[in-house]
Amino acid sequence: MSVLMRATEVIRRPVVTMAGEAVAQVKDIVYEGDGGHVGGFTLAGRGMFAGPLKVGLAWESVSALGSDALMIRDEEVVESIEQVVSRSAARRGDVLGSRVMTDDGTELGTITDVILDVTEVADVIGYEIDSSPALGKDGRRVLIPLPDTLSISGEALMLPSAATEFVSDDLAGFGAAVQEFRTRLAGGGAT
Amino acid sequence: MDWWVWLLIVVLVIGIAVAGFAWLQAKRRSGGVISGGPGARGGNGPDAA
Amino acid sequence: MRFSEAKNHRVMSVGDATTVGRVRRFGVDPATASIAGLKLRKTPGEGDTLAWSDLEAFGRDAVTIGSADRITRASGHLERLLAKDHAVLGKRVLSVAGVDLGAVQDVDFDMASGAVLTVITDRHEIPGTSIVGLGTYALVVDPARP
Repeated sequence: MSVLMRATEVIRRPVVTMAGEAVAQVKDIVYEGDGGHVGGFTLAGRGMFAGPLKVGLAWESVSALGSDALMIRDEEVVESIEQVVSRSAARRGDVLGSRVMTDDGTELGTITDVILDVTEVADVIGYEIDSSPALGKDGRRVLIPLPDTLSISGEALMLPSAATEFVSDDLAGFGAAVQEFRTRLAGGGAT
Repeated sequence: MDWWVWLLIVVLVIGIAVAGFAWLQAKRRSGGVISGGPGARGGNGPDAA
Repeated sequence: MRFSEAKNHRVMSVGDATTVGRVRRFGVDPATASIAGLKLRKTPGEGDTLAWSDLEAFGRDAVTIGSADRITRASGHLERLLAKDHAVLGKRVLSVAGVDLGAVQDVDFDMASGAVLTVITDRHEIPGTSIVGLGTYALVVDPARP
């Protein structure tokens, strides 16, 4: 069963072992090269005075990503941070706060959240953006679908212009909008 | 000044330092959505829950 | 029998028919999903721990033991299970899928074996056989377990 989740809600979610101990919380969500899905997480400590930990979790080590906790078998599956994110990549910056443009040069807005479709993999299916005037949504936050693979830099992200036709106001029905968008990109769908 | 004024000042300074540290750590704990980089691992299946 | 009903049970020594303590807290072993021991208060000596295997019986109104020297000072595994941070009552329940199922409000157990029969939260009733782990953060359960 697929569950849609917001990246900003997964950040800070407790990491809990099957033995019922909360060993860390989620710091960064690390997407793999093509931006298509989540490769792993970096972790931070829990508590008011805790800072980032130099460790991470590969997606394969995650037993379950639920609405209230990220479950792992035990602490042994936690790895050093270099195994989850390379140093050069970490410098490339955060998708949150980046600008989004279409491939025909229209600025769509800045990213406030990333929408994940969690099943066996955590698929990156869309962004929530503070919309620019070009979308005609009065600067409201809207959801915009993503293709299966996309090019990501730290600065600006490019989407096919067709994405603007599948913009949603909320998560209900967004999954369907993403499907229709991807079908359109594959050359199908209604005109 | 009376001793208790000094005590109050010390407590306030410590309180501000502690609050400042907690705020700083909260910022350091917060993360985002970042690239794994070249050779980053793909995702293919959490173990069966 | 519920934890809520048994919480203040008198502990009586069969040998001399005296009260040697009161039940304060239950220690549940997640590996067996049963009560491993009891933490007592108002004991005569320094000991405050009773292993389940040292009980004569856990009854409707009182717990009976052979004599007061069954009461020990907790150590090792039992000490950890009986620590306050491992208490089951009030503990957050998490499913193996990472979903919060509510806080434990009560536990139904078998008086004869000490087996946990049902964990009762504000939102769910979970069979004891579903228990996967118990730690300081949560009681982890697998509702799909037969």
